[in-house]
Amino acid sequence: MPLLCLGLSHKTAPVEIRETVAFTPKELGPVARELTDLPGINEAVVVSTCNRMEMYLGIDSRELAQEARSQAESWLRRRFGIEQDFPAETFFHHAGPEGVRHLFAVASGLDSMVLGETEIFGQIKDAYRAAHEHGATSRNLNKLFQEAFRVGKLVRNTTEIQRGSTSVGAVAVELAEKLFGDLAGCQVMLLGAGEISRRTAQSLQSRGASSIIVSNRNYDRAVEFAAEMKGRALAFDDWQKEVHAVDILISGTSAPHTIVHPEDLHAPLRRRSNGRPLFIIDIAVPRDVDPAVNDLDSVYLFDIDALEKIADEGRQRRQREMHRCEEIIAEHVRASAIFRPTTHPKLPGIDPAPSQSC
Amino acid sequence: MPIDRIYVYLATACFFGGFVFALQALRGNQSRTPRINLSVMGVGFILQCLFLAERGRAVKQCPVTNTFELLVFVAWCLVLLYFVIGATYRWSLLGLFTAPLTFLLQLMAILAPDPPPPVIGPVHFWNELHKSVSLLSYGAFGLACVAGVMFLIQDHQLKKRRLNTLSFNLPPIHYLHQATRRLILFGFVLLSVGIIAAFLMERSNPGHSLAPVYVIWAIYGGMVCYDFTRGMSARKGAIASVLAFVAPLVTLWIFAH
Repeated sequence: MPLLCLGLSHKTAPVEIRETVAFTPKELGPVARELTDLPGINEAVVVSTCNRMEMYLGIDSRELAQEARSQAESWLRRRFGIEQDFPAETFFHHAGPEGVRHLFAVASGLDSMVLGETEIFGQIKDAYRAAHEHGATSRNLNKLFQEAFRVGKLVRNTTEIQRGSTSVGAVAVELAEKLFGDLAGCQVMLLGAGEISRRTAQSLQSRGASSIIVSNRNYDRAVEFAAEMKGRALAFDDWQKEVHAVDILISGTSAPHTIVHPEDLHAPLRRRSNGRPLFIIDIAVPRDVDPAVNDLDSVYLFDIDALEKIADEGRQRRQREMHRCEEIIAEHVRASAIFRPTTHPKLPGIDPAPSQSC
Repeated sequence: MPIDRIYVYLATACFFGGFVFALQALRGNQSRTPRINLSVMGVGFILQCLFLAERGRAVKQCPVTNTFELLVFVAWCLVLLYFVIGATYRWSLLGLFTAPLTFLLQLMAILAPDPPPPVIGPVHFWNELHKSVSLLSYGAFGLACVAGVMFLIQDHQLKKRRLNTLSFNLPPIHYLHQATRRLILFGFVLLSVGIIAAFLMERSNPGHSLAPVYVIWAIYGGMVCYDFTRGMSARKGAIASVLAFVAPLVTLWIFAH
């Protein structure tokens, strides 16, 4: 049975268009079922995330492929009340093996905005489960999606496509885990109440860091900030008194000079009895923390440039792994028993390359 | 060549192989130490067990009657503790760092003299306990040294902000520090038990031949006391665990000559 893949993604459409053509998670099953009611479409899975909306359709025969595609596009227009013509490259469609390759690449995170990210794998699983539960999938799409999950896992386990973090916040979390292992119970102190500090602290909180202390020159702002993060505020002059119990110190003030010096940490470090490391993230420009602090035992200081550099290395590492991932995918597309090109060399009227609008 | 020596040669080859396999995996940027590394370490351990069983039958006591046996026994303790701790904490890379040390001990054993077993006398419980527990403590100190090396490598990478594949594979630095402390404490307790057992041995002059053991006990005891009373920084603790292990190694070297 031929496969048809229609949709749009962050590569073909800006967010203004993507936000108008999207389904909620609850709608995925019913809309997949609705698609199978269209003439020529036997099976359907709809994937909808903030970066893509894709429909994987199992169609009756290649002779009906063009008809099925028109039906699906018309249904999409009706569903979203699309009247205007989007730019030609907004929607893509892939047929047969090219559609299989596309699904494998998406499941492996190769088509994601952040190369190698893992969230998409779970989103495709959810989409497939929803379609399956609504009776929208059968033998062919079941086999195809199971194979896609297998390939996605294989790519992640045998390459470094998800190795290394690609954003400053993610690098901070990764380094914290490198130092402490489990972040549960870790105490975080924020010096300054800037946006990047808040986001970094929230990333750490999402991984289990439990206690947030906010210290800011403007105490009211610290109170407000602490309330937002379910932490507690601390007068700026008192941060040295409490830093001995802190595991991660995030500094992001707008001070024109350094505010954390080695001598500020000598006494607090002596009070830390169990040799726990102190991770200092200095995201301020100009820097808040004297670089000499990094020479202290058990203190690990990373400024914004160091974090950016690691994130950049992570991005480059993932980019270098692309070729290996594509080889694995190509091998599995070739080996895939369904949607083989020999059976369905080309669907009439369907060009495998991205093309016209809906 | 007696079968028991063949076991030791094969085990040594296994530990060397385990080290080479793991090193290749790291150079090849693989995210995990391959299972083959764990397998060869396992085979090496089984061969060590066969050797110790064979020798134990021959000498009818704990097989540490000469330097050759002593070194193999210490290497066996190291691998035993690696399997207990490595499996508990899923530290696949601990094998990579344990393998060269085990290989070194096995190599020293092969080069050491292996005179025929002495005249078999009556087996004394305290004597057997002293030997086995003291050597097990050497294994714990050896593994603390391995964890210390892993800590220092990671500490260097984090301080210099140079993260690579090895960085991603090493256990969290705080876990390594905790493991080093616990292994040293564990080894110290075992060695203390071994020394108490030595006092209870039926020997006329226990202090004479035990002098090197007392030195080792004093070194590790000093470290434990300092850590408990004043608190040792993680980096100093790691350096101390590596340097202190020179003492057991030297002791074994002295026994070997």
